[in-house]
Amino acid sequence: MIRLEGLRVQAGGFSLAIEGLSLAAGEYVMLLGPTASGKTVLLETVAGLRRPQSGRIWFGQREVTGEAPERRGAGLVYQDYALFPHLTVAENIGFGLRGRRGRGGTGGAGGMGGRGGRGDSGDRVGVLAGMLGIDGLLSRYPEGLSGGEQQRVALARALAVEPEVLLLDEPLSALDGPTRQELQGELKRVHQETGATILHVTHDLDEALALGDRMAVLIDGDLRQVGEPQVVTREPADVEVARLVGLTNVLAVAGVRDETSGQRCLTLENGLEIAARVGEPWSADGRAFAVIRAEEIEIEPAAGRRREATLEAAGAGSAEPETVLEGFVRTVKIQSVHASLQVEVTAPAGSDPRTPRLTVHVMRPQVDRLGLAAGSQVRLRIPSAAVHVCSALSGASDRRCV
Amino acid sequence: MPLAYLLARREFWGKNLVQGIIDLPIIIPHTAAGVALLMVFGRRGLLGEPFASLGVYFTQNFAGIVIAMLFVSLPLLVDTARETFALVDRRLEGVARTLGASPWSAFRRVTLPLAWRGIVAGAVMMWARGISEFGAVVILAYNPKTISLLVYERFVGFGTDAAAPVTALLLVLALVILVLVRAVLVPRRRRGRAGDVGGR
Repeated sequence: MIRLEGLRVQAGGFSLAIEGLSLAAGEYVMLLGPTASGKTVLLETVAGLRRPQSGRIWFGQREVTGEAPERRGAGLVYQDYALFPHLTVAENIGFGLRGRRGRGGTGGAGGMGGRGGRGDSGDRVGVLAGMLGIDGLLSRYPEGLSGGEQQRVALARALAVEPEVLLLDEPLSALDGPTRQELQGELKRVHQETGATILHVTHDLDEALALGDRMAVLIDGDLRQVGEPQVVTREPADVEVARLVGLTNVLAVAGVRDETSGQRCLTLENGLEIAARVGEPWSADGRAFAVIRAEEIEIEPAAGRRREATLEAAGAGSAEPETVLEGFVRTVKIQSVHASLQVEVTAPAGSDPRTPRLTVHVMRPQVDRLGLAAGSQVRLRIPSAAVHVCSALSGASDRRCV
Repeated sequence: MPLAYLLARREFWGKNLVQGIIDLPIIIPHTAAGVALLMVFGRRGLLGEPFASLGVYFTQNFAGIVIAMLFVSLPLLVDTARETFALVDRRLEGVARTLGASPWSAFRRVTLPLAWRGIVAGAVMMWARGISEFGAVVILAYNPKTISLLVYERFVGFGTDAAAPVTALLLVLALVILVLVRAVLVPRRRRGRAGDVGGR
């Protein structure tokens, strides 16, 4: 188990603050953040290559905060592999096995002569190379290998020393699409086979969703949210997290009204009223935003009848309350599995004339079935379950969702 | 070598001053460097005096030549080595550390093998500068004569004809060594990949 407590790290003009983050043994945690959000700094601090200004790092019952990297047992894999160019693949993988007698030795002190690839360590190199499908490359030098091959070598090299935690710094970012998919599968398999505890840094949401048991979001050196990927992507803690996880309908909330029917109604700054779940947390202080998940909005052709936007409490509280809006499609963007529609909502009479646009995601076949095209009049149904309320910023002062 | 490594990797107070002192012999006239050395290592110099009382002298002898050459040619080695060390990705050292290597072991197994060409090149430059040194040597240790002094003395005393054989010898020697150095340094990479499979 890996635990970080009140960690503060200064790196150049940049500072990183982690109140608390822990990884259970064998857990695969994705650290998601935009570029320059401090992800690499965090990994290097856990590895022991950077000294934190304050805070503590625990590997199990052992506090390693002041311990040298060679005594810690954290494996590090960089985006550009960082293989030793003067050593063969076998020597790279076996690097950490030389003179190693379990953990706790000073490491590297023994084994002045001789090579890394013999005896027990040779077996281990062979096993790892076999597991990662690089056993044919053992005598080659890194220079001639493809990116995918180099990253497998880097992975094998880190796994060779059986680290307590495997730190992956955007390991797939430098690879092309198919290789990335392949290695993603490989990482999943390696995780299952070795039971390694993994902290994997990425800026790719799909990667985070595909691999992570849990997901931690780091923005501007600040840990904004930690949770299951499903939860983080559905209920982001703040606006920036929402944007990072690809949520497009983020609208400022002007007010909230709880109705006697047990229904909650959000008034957006653009005048629209949206039904939300009562369970959605809300506090009056600070700006709040409504996040409407694009794939949960139902869309249907408006069939000529124009109706005002209404709030319907359908069927005596049995069904979820929903918001019905009218509008027309501005653009249709076809993507690999779904289509992304920009819908301009017709403003209800008497409200702010600034017409909001909503993004709606539908599966591709639906576009044809519903006859959706630019200019189509449509009706949108927004179930209250599709609406999530979050704060503008979940800074150090208020960490959680409002 | 440790100094070069330190200069390449660390930021510390007074780094620019240290760097400046090392580079000083490059910009000052070498006769001035010789005078400065004489003030330190001369019989009544800062270090020369205590050493002289022990019977160790640095003027007009072999030790003087070594000191003079060392002082004026050291920057070439330190600077080259520093630049070579700086070119080695420090993350490689970091990875080596996470794999269980001590700082010294990481240096020996990763940094040094990647930087040795630059260090050898620096050493050759240093040697070349030492051979051709005149100014500092002439002041600190006129005798026993270095080859550059010999050329000068023969030229002044007996003219071009007398200086020519020594000059020719110097030229040939320098050329041979420079060619050898290139031969060792340049094709090394190609051999390293094709023929040197699994070896060191």
